[in-house]
Amino acid sequence: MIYVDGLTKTFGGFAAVDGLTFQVKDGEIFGLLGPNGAGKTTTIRMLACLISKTSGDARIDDFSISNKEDSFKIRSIIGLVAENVGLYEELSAYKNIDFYGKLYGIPENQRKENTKHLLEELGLWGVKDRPVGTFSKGMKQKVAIARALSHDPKILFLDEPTANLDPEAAKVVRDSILNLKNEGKTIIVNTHNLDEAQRICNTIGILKTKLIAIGSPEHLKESLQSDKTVIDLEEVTDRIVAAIKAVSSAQFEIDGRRLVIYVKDPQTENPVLIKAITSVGGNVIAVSQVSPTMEEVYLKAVREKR
Amino acid sequence: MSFRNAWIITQKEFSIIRLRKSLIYFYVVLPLALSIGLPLLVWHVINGASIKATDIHYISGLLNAFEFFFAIIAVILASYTAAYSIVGEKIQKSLEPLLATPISDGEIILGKSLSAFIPSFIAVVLGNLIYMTLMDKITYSILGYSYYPNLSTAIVLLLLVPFGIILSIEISTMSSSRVSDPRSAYQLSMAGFIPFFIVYVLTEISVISLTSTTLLIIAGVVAVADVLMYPLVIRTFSREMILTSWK
Repeated sequence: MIYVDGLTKTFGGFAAVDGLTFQVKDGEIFGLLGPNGAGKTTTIRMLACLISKTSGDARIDDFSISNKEDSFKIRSIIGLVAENVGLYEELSAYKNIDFYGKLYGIPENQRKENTKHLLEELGLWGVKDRPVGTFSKGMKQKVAIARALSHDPKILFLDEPTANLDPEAAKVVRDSILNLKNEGKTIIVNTHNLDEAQRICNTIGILKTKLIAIGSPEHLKESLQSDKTVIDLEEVTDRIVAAIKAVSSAQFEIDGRRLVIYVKDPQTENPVLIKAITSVGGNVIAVSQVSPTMEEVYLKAVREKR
Repeated sequence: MSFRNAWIITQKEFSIIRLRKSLIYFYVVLPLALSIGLPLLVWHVINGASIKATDIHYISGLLNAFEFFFAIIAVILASYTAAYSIVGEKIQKSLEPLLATPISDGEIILGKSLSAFIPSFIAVVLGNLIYMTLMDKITYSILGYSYYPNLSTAIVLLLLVPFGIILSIEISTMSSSRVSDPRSAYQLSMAGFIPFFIVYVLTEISVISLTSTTLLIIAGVVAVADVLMYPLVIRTFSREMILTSWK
């Protein structure tokens, strides 16, 4: 379990992260979503005890990031995949992972077993002795994930794990993350890939120095952005517009012969809207319902905080 | 501070050094060039001129100055390795995941320092052994006794070389935080070489002579510099500084 309470980091008076409060349950994937400079990496670095916090606190598995002794314990139960993979390019994939296993004090036999298991699972066993400098970006990212798992950590911090990867490699990494979730790992993932966040995260926090929205992807969609009813008409007249305004307070946009109406409850509101349009002679060609995308939710949340 | 953790870092650095041929050549060529080149030079001096009794004093002065060269190359070798080691991590951006492990900043810096210290020290000592053997063979007929080993050798190898290596590692660590390529770090860390070069120039213009006492004083000054620089190095190599301030 991760408890974050009022976590703040300032650099020379400038707040990079301001009063962050959230919780991540065991076995959950928590996504931190935000634009560049929103404080995502700074948050992960504070939680991983890489940099100090200015105020507030966070407890990771009951260890406080504020306590120096605890910070060593925290670092022994977490795994970090940093934004830059940070592998030793001259060394082989096997040696990169084995080196980290040694640092975590894992006995040699178990280390060999773990490294083999991880490399096999990620499809890298056949190239284990090749220097990672010769690997593709996707392969390097997989080695970085394997390295972070070398000591079987309870908690994983992933900073932009699919950034700069081609779609195929990104899918492999995403699938690996979902497998880790199924194994019961607690994961905090930084991303600005909205689709990815929606696919893999149980909870999403939208960060822009402050946490501006938090919830499940579905909850965020509901609370931040209405469904859209798209009605194609033969013609949009003033009478139709007046009729809509008379029966609904929903916001709407006119796009040529198309009406886009932001409804809260499509099932109740749509029949009323259609009836109003037809009652003033409107000729409805098609009606469709569009759910908001994660991108719309995200952009709305971020823009509202400007 | 766990020496075990530091040694794991050192072993990793050794694995990388073994794969960097330029470093290996550097470790072999530089000490070997001195250990063979200097005796050849003396051999040429002895055989190219008729050595009188007064020249014996000249020869022994030359040998003392040559011995000092080994302290200088120790500084050069260690600077080169330390610069590669730290800037290499910066280039590969491998410090962040490393710092996320349960290892302290002190253990990382100790591990990296050992990886620069051990090969530099070994290379210099082996080079010096070859140098002493050859030089004794060449000068025995003139001096009438084996000049090496002597107290000056012991001071250079056991005090000046280790203290000089530590100083160069400290300077390399500090300069590595300001630059992002090994060559620039190496060039900056060559600042550690300047005091040694000044001492050498002072001996050449006969301001000082490299007696055992002088060498002992120089070693003491370098040791004091090592101690004074240590807190600065620890401050520079803190995880907060590395992740937020290093270029």
